[in-house]
Amino acid sequence: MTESELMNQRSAPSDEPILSVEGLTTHYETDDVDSVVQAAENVSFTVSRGQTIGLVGESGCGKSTVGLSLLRALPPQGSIVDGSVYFDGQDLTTFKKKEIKKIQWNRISMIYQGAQNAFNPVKTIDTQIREALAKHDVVPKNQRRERIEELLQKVDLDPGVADRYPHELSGGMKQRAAIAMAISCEPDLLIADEPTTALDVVVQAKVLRMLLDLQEEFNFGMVVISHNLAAIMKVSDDIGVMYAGNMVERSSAENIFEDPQHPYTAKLFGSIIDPQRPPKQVENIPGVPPDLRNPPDGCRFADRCDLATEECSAQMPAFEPKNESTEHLAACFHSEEVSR
Amino acid sequence: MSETETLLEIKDLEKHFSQSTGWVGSLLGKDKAVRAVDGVSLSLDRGEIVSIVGESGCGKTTLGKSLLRLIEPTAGSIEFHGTDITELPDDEMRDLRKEMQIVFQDPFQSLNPKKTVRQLVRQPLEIHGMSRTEAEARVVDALEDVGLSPVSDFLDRYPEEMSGGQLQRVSFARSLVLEPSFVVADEPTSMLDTSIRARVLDLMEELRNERDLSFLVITHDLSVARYLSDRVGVMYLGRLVEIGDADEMIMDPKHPYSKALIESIPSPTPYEEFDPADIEGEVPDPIDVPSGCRFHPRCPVATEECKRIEPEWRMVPTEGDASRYVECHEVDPKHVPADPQPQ
Repeated sequence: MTESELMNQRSAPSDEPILSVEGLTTHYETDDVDSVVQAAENVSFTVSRGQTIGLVGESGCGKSTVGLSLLRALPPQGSIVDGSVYFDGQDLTTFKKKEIKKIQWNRISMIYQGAQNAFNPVKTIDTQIREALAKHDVVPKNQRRERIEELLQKVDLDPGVADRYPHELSGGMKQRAAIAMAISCEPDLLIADEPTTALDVVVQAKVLRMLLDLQEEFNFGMVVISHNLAAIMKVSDDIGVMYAGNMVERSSAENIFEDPQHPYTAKLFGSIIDPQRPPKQVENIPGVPPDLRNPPDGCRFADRCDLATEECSAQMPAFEPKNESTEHLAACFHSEEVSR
Repeated sequence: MSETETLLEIKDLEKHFSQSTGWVGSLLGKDKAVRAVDGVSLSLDRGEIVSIVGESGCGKTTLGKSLLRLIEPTAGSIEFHGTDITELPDDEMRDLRKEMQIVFQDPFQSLNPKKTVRQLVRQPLEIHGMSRTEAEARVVDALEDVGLSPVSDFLDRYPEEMSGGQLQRVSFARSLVLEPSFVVADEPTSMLDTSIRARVLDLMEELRNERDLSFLVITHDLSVARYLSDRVGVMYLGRLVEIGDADEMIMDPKHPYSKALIESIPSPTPYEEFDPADIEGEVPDPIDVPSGCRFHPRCPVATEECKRIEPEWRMVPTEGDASRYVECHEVDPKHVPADPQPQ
């Protein structure tokens, strides 16, 4: 398939993953020429149409770096040093940035962290969504306004919002407008980086519900990145847990919840409070993640882990099937000892 | 715990900010008041932890700051140990601040990056005129109390050499050196990763148990509120709309806004489908407070009465044992007169 075919073609629905990330490794340069921040190491996952993978982890775990790597939207210091990002069969890591732009909006859309501030402040919402529609010519010129109003209604906004400027909208309204823009050209894949962070709880809930409903309607694959494990549990079919640049566990939401195979996953569940059922004791994980300029050779979680042995500090455990299931992978020597 | 003793009692507290509409507007009398806190009554016992939850702009942070007079309230009274502090002269207020402290949300911003932990924790003692040697001993005690041990490892560190969780504990140590009886904690864990949040929550619990310290916790996070507090109050547009026992309140909220807030929190399981409350729109600007019940434009059960008449603050029956106060016409419409004591 040539790039122009990729750009215009809409692949037929199938179980084939629309996105397949293999061994993605992204580093950031630092002021010191001899050291790099190993922000994401050997990260692999797939997403099919109509499916969602949630990437979850705490600050600095590399989840946003993965999201930005997919669309090559990394800051100038960042670069993909290894691995592939197959989108509909084509490796996006071999694309020039200009070529990536050609598939943005109509094939892949991204809702950036702080999307509320991603709009151009001097253009109306109409103008900005219209640019995306015009670029890919998905709707004839004389029907674009109608389409924009329809999109705004889909995200529970008044059609009149089209003529407003970003600063005239609340944070929640801007986030909805960003979602409207993201789905404007009916992409096959939507990447949402912290889509609800910085929004109030009632609005957060609505945005989450909205993403689920839109996915139902448009059948796009979704990568949702969040530090909020509860939100991730609610929107994801599969979950990838990240820690210090590594994906430490990946499986279905049910498996991750019922039978975690990595101690960090189990501890993370122990540290969250469900207000409906508060535990007697909330788990604290002492210590801090390692400095990713100089990460340890072994498991990066070892020095905060109750189960760690010498083996764990000596070598990095492989990210491998657990419970004899290729659907449940984790990187831990002591998976059988992990309990919630 | 010993028998209850009221430590703090605030009545009809108001903080209005005036928003200028420019000099022409002000000549025409068009300046408007932002009613950030608009008549809040609340009491707090010694050794009690009360959380105030609400969305941004509900006035919870303004409430916290005005009851320490870090910003001056516009009206109402604040009795602390039985004395109304709203009229206290500055010097007496300064002395009283030893008793009433605040811990802010973001330790990276609230702690001076150029000072060591020792200097940071000693500073409040120096401001209150304590000698350096005496202060030094207290600094060490305070750091031990917040679990930064061995203390010698931390004394000479700068903020950038510490994690967020450790820094937040330094913020607590700074408040505790003065041995206060009351601390306002404004979003004490919202900047912290979940894996280290428990340490700070447990610290607050310990301080309450060991020193009979009272906390007013201001948070947007209902899970923190329930885990930590004896009672939870919900604020909406400058008013406390409901308050009650933390467990009972979250399992059985009465006010439609409290219900919406609680239903909006996803449970951390993959099972139940996420079906949040369907309430309209977003919190309006506190400059244009709606008539009647201020929640009525978004309320799923609002009636004509709600548009016209402001609901009274009253006690309502619940299934639990603890008393519950609600400001809503539609909750058990059978009128139950409020306890004359504000809660």
